Amino acid sequence: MSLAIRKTLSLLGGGAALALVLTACGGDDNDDGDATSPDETTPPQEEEQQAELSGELTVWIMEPGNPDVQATIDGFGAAFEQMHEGVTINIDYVPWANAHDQFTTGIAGGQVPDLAEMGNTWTPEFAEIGAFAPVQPPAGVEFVEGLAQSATLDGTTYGYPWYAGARALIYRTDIFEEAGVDVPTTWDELLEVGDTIAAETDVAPIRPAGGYQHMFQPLIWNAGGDIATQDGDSWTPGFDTEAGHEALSFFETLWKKGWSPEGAVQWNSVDVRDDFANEGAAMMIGGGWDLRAILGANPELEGRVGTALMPAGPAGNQDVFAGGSNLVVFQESQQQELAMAFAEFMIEPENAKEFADQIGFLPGTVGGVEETVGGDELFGVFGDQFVNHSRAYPVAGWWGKVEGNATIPTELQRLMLGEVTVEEAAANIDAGIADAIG
Amino acid sequence: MTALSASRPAMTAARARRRRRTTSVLTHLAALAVGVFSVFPLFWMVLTSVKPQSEIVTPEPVWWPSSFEFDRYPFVLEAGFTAYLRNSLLVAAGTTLLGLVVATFAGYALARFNLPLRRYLVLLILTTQLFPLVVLLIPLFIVMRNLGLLGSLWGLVIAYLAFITPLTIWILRGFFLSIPTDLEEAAQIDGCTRFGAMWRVILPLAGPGIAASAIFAWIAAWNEFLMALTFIRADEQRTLPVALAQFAGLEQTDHGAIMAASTMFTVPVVIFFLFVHKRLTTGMVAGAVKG
Amino acid sequence: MSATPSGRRPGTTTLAAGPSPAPAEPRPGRSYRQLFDSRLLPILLVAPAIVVIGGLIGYPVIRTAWLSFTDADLSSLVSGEMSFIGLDNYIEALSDPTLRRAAIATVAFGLACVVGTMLVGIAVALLLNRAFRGRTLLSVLVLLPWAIPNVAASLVWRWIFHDQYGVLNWALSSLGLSSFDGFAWFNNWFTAFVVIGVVVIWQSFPLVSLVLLAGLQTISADVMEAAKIDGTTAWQRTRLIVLPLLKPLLLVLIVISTIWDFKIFDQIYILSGGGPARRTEVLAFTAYREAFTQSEFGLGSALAMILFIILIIVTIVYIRLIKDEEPTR
Repeated sequence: MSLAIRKTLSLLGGGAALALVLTACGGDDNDDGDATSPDETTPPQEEEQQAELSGELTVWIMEPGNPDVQATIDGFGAAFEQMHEGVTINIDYVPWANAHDQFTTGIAGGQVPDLAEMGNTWTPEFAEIGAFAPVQPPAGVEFVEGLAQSATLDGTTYGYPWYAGARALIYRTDIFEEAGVDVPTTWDELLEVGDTIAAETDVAPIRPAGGYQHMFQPLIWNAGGDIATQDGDSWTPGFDTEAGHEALSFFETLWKKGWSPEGAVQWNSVDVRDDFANEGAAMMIGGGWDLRAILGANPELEGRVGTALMPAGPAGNQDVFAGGSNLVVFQESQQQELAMAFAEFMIEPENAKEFADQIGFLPGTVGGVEETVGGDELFGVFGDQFVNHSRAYPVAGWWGKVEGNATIPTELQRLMLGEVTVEEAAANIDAGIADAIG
Repeated sequence: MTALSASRPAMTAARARRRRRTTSVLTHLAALAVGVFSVFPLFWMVLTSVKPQSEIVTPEPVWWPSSFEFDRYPFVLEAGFTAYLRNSLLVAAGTTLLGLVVATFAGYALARFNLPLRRYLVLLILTTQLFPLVVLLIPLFIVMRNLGLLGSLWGLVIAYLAFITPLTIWILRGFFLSIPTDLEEAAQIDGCTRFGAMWRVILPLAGPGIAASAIFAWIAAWNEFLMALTFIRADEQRTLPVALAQFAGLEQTDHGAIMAASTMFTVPVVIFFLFVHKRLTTGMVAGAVKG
Repeated sequence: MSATPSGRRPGTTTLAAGPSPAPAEPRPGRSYRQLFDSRLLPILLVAPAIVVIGGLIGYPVIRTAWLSFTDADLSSLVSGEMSFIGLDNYIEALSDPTLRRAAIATVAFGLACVVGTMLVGIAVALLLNRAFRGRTLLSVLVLLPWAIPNVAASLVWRWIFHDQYGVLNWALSSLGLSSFDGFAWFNNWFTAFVVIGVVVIWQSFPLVSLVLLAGLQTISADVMEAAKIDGTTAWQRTRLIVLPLLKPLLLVLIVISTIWDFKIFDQIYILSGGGPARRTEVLAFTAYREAFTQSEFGLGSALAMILFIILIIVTIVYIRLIKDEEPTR
């Protein structure tokens, strides 16, 4: 049966070859580089005598929605590689919409990158379960409090604050002129201005969207309430209150004006932004990064857009969500030192500032933010909004769960579809939050 | 069967002709409707991938573009789809090969030998078709995690055997049953071992069955979404279905690009399918009938 | 080795055709080889399959069942700790309105898809059974939906049903149904299910049609001719000759369709994501979501087991129905 044996062997050989190919394509890198932390005050360009760093680093960054930004980040990777022979940086871009799932399943499966951008609202959640390695942000730098807070658990720091951002009002100066209106500064004015724009122009005033949680959630602060209040170690949800009802009512009123297409129940921030870039709306709530993306997608809007602070709610405050991201190193990474080195490289003042300017974020340091405030006429508003009128969502592990479960947008959508009343929606939201608090 | 006698007045020739014509018209209309229903989405997918953006995002559909834009395809390729294609190919090939080996041996054994519990084994194979993937998913995920296979395409290949094996065993068993045993016996009389008889004489004859199983396994592995979604995190190991879904979420308003990526995923499968569909239906029908 | 055995003519056999009984017991003095061939070889041949099925199906099912009685979550995976909570997951699954809805939706929507698929499939099979110009072309076109992968099909249909720029809304409002202008199909659970149903039926009817067509073509032409001569209408022939003869095939197809349609995941994920407000979730989707998005592995396992149990019940019901149809078997 030599023929049969030969055939079997060739099959096995083929199988082995296939196995080789598969493992080569799918394997994990386990090189250990030995390194000492680079001196963070050294300017990036002329560091020849850096300690030896080598190996391959896997980095997950949130999809910036802007190819220029992606190029900038890739540029950081390339620059770092140039400084350190033997280092390869692999950057994967993850869309925000899937990112929470990606992290949850990744942590569950032990398949995490070495370094990742982690939204500040998710950092506590994953830090609590021990997913991150403790890090030492460089001394002598003052980080924006909201970010630093989100990266600290029981006194240990688990992330490097990278950039911050706040949303404000972006509007079409030409449409406002056409309709003869001024920038609204309160909720009532927003409704009035909206009505006028709707009557006088053929552009929608503003598009309430059901999947855009950061547009809606701060409204409860503007109405004088809070998402949840902390008392020692326990939290109480706050939507089933007068302020919560007011916020939901206001949103419902906006929706019932019919300024959004029906499909906007499912819209998220990208849909809203794209609609604005396509000249479908006169106003939107968005951040500096949105504005950059819009001008990039539709350069004709240059000179026809303006920015202003968020309209204030009945309680007189115009706070928005203080967003931002940290850079975190995963506990299961085999390249922790390399990851920390690259993270520190990215938060170096020049690099952080370049990145922030490019995309319309604010650097994660207080100094960096203040530089941006009052600077540019258009983008300075975001700095002002961030420094003076922004707040953090509850800094706790359970908040990540609430966001991941889309508790609030789900209820908001049911409100928009008329399936629940304001009171019912408020009660359901609180129930969902209480569930997550556990 | 009851013979029905006509209780209606006899047809005149003219009436019969008219009836035939109406039927013909109706038949052709129905055929048109079915044809359009079947093919329109594919047509629309390909068309949208080459239309200019302004002719996509418009309330009035544009049935034929004024100009063709092919640059979405290089864009999609550069966005990583060459790697995703490679991954899908590797996984499909691995699954098909492994699956065939396992299923051929088992199918042959079940067809030819009086194994203990043979009837129950067959029934078991049938019941596995009942299992929704999600019932297997969580423990498989945990096992793969512990074995360190979540970071490797091998993990996916092995996991796919879970749903490939039962049906291919079923098909192959059916084919083996249809091959008379005298050939093997003749070969054995000539001095072959049982295994040798199977390998050299029967397998070549079961070509159609093996082909049918291979096609089924390939297509199933190529299209599989849920396990690939759960097991693979790293972008460079993604397979096409998950990459396409991810891409659609990333570029959510660039419908042209999404359709271009979809076309790249679909067209090879469609072409392959058109060539092999006869094998597939014969294989499945044979497997089902021989039960 | 010669291919033609000496002393026999090829093509003849002294045994009956069909599955052969096991080779005879080795007589004393026979070689080990023959012992191997008749005893060990079959087991070796089946062993890989048993390992695969046992390890990749048997073990996971048992493990899922076990997990469904625990409160396993993300930290359990990291630390290995989890505790038994009895039927709590199942109680939550049946009492939580969203989860209960998913269970009901699985059955209702699944059955609706089966009905739709069978109706379309039968109709197309009957159509293809007639002779008309372009029949061969149509039989090829009908294959296309079956060939297109779930994700791609879902994406293109989602685009076709887009509220502002989709072709379907344009077509419907052009036909005078102006309420479809800008209609958001995915805003409402019912219309969202309609879209998902269209996609599922579109992908499934080709197989049904082709198998039924093969069956139709085996119905003897003579029988049909005789019936025609007797003056029966097409409808009478269909009802009294064709359908009864096709019944076995129909039943098999219904069972297969049901099993497939109760398990769908991909289309839900891409088309509606389970929304709006989790109203279009079916059990396969919900189980995945609870396990991998919420890291509630215990609850996810319970939901998966509920789906499994539903499938078993439905299959038993069908098998009973089939048995009733063929009392002589």
